[in-house]
Amino acid sequence: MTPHRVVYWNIPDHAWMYLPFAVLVVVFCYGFYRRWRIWSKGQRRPIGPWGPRLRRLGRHAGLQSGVVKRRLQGYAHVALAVAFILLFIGTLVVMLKSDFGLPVMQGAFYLWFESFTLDAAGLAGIVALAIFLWRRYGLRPQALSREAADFFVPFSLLIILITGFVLQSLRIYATHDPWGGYSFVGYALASLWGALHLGIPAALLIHRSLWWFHLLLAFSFLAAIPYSKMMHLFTGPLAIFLSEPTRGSGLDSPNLETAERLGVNFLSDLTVKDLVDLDACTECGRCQDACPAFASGKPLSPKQVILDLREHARSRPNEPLTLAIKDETLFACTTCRACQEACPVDIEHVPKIVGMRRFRAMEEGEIPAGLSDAVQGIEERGHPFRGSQASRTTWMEGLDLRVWQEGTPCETLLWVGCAGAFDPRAQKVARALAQLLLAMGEDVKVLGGRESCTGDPARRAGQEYLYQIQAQQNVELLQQVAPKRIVTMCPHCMQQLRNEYRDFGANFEVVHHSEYLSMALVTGRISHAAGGKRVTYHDPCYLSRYNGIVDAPREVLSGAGMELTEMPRHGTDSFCCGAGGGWAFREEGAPRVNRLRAKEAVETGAEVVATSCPFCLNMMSDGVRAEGGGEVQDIAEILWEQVATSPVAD
Amino acid sequence: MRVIAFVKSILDPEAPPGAIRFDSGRAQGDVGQVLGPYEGNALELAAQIAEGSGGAFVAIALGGKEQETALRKALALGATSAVRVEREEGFHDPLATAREMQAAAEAAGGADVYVFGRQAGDWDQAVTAGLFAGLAGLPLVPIVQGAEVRGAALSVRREIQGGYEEGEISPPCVLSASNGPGTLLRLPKVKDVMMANRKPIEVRPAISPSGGFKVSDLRANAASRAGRRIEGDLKSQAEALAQDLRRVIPGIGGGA
Amino acid sequence: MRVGAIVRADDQHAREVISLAKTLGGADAATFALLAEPAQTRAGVGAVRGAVVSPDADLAELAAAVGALLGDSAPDVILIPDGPLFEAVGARLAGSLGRTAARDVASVEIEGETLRVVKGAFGGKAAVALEATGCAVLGVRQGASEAQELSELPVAMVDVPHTEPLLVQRRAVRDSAGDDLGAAKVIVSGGRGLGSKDAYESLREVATLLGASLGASRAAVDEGWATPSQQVGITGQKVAPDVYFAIGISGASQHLGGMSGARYVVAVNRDEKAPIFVAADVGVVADWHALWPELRRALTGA
Repeated sequence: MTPHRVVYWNIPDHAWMYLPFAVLVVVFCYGFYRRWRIWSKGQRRPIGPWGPRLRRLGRHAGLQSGVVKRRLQGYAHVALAVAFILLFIGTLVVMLKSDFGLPVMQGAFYLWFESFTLDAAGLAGIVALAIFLWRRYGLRPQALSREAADFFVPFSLLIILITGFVLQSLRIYATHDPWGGYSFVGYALASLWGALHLGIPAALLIHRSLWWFHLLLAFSFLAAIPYSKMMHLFTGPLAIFLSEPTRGSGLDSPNLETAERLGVNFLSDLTVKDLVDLDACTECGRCQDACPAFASGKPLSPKQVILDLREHARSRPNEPLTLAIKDETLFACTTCRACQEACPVDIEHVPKIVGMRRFRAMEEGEIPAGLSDAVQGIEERGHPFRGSQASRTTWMEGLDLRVWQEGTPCETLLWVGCAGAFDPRAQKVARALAQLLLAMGEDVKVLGGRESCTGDPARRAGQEYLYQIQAQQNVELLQQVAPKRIVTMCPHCMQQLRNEYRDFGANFEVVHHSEYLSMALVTGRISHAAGGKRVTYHDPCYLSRYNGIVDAPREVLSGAGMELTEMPRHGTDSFCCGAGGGWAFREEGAPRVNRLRAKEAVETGAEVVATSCPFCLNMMSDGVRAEGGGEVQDIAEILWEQVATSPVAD
Repeated sequence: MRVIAFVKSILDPEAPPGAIRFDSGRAQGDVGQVLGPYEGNALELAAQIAEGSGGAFVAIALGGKEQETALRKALALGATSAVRVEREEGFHDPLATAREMQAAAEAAGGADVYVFGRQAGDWDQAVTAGLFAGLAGLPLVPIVQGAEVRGAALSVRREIQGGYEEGEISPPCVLSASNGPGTLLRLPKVKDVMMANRKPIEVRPAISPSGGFKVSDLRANAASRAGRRIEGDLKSQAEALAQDLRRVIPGIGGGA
Repeated sequence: MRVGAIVRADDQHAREVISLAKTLGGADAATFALLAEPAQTRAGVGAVRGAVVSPDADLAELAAAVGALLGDSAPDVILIPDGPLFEAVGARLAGSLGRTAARDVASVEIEGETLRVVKGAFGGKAAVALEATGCAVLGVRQGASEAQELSELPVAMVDVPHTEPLLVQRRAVRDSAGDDLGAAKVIVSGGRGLGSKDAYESLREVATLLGASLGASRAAVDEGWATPSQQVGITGQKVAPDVYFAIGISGASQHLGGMSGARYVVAVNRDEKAPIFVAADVGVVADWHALWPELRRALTGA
């Protein structure tokens, strides 16, 4: 006899289940419609290149590559997801048999898939859920909330799985299923009933009632999906698909002259992606764990921002967003994107925050003190370093470095940046870099007094108008200069020149000095004495997360003969120095972000903390000094020290 | 209350030393023009009074095209119109300037409150508001740090030695604005900036009154001291500095 | 030309200005003084005419007193000490007389009908020499001339007509923060380079340690760390301490102008190119946040 089982055994009136099923469909669709109604308020953006989006969807949703960054809960999640996919397929198989009469519930397939695999899946699901519940209620991490809904989602799944096994065991017990051993969990339970001498009529009664309970619970769970964070089954992949597929800024460059409203203050100012994000959040709290503002006690949790916006969207969709997100929260963000990097479903927090800042800054003239000085400085003097008494060329006094003249060609343009020109500490980096370039025999020029702020601090502060003026002017000038390449020592300048200026017609070859110097070391254009210090490297957010440049600066350090030791958080998982998003120009109360990061750097025991961003350099210098650590240097300074002390520079 | 604010763009006072050259009676340099710091306080004060009273607010500047920086800023902060009196850049006798302002103010329809910055950061005359008030026979409240409209009167706060005084004055009057808690220049809203950039600036010819002061010489002040630097690491810097402070200030350090 | 002077008898440089008027105008110099009380009549400021005005007189009362002193024959060149008195009445008086005016005047020369003055400009970065034919009201900077021994003259007292105050419901608030800056022997002053109110507050400890008064640059006042009365500068308080300790002040010329009377200037700033170092006797290029703990240790021995 072919191995099989009777479907709907002991449930003669199973056809009644289509009544609750109909209710389920209606409730589900209505819930989905309510979500969709909110999304449809959003601004639509062209979807653009499908290839990278689909690849990212495969990686982040299919392979859950973001989820498994946290090993334990990540793999538990994968197990649970796979288990339910298998169980869903198993249920479809039952449907094929009962409703379409297909002979699928038999033979080896029945034994090995429908029985063995599904039991294994169910068991894995139970283990995964146990891990979840233990983490949330045993370990009680701060990132996870413990509201009623947080309990009922995993608990109902657990009950569904457990009742499933009990049903299976009762069937095996009552029918003396000859193939019951393949359903090993049910089989084990069935032997328990035997040991307890459970009467057959009782078993039949319990089975029948439990079957309906199991069914109704499963249906309720499905119906509740659009009303709970289980919605991420749909919105997670959707949010991943809609997320910025390339390393851009995630910021749009609206035409402000024609814009009805400047920045974001109503749901309808957000994009569809932004609104989907709100429903994609599973409240896992990884963004909050990664956030430097949250870690330093500022009134900002990226998770809470998403949840507050979601609550706002559902309860008062037509009211201004300033009711949901306060200025202290909005302007606490360093735009470091650690939250986005951590988010398993690619929620984009930073563009929402910058969007709302735009509204505050442009429509209402509200920018926090300090930052507003910097923004005014850009407007009046083309740089944010208010009070500086330097000129754009003070730093290069005594160097044989030429300023580009109109009508002359330009091979390599050194874009110094405002920090390099006006900040006393960063001036030294600019000198080191210029000397390296000169030592390489590079035909290098600077723009001198014609260089002007890229506008990055203004853009991050929400002053998009000023930013766009700066961007247009700079692009125009650079098109006139037409350098073969632009080298810059500032990741923020680079982010503008290389990526964000594309919206203004820029298409230049822009390299960060780490890339240029590492290439020069590889090709042997620089030679030097051996170094040998123990160095740890702090990845600037705008270099690592925004531009994926993590190897080049390390190559420069190892090329300079340094021994590299890593901090726990490095590469694209780097922790912000605290300067981003305009904080370089603001006064931060204790505890400061830079202290947290500096502590981490000092604990590596490195003699030198290296970085490759003038803002990180200042922040880390302050922090490392306060933490009692050693020197903080830019990679260009470290390399130049080696080159300058070489006996023969050939 | 109708408000007239006199504003001025000046060579950036935060320009690095030596960036502005002084010769043949002129100040020149490759330095940007910015709104004078006290004119910024004047703008803020004027904007507050205009807002508080619902009155019109006219901004007037004397000079060449360079003055448009200041006037655009005034328009962005809510000035209803802007007037530039076409006049050569550089030094002008302050009484002549005050007469020029009086003529421009009359042409603009006059005002209840005239607001000046206490001192333009280029020629540092710091007398124009007073001269204007004297010529017009209006009361002057110097060094105003804040004002509030109270019905038909204006409650003002002005700096006095070692503090400030507050009181009410009934316009017409002249205020000279200084920096203080109530006069910190706000950031304009971008919509207003864009609108300001589209608004016309009325240009009037100067009446060019004669007489008064002329520049016979202008020269840079020499640096006064030759600074000695304390070098070394932080600890030795601190010790050397402490030693130096002990030398010049007897009896410090709690008996150390 | 007839030269006159109007001073407040208790003004710091009243006698300097009277002396200058006498030097320029000779015997018929018209020297007028506002006196705090009738007893000051014989205080020897060298005035020929006096009027009593209370120290916290209203603007209108001051103007009335000055008017009463001048009577109906104002001297051609009127010298007033540059400071609160000039601020209150000087320029307005010039305007109502239809004369020009100048302030921050460092020197005055009269040759026939030609009046020559030198005054500061561009926040003290420059000095400008001005020439005019005719009458003027001048605000004379402290130190522009030497105070001479002034013989006691009989002072003719004039009555100040009663005036309605310019500011009604007037209330004066003393802000002791900057009270003693003018007379302070040691001043510790902070600027934008400090970065925060907390850092500025740390200067209080420095001030206590050095027995100093606390000053500020305009930037520190605008940031709200210090009160306007603490502002040192050409338009703020002009100070002349024995020691001026500038911390985190880059040294805008406006500020340098206000502290140029200091005998000994110590500066701490991160930026080695900061102009404050040019105006300082001793300079330390360092970050105050890092230097302060070390300095405190060095000063207290703790």
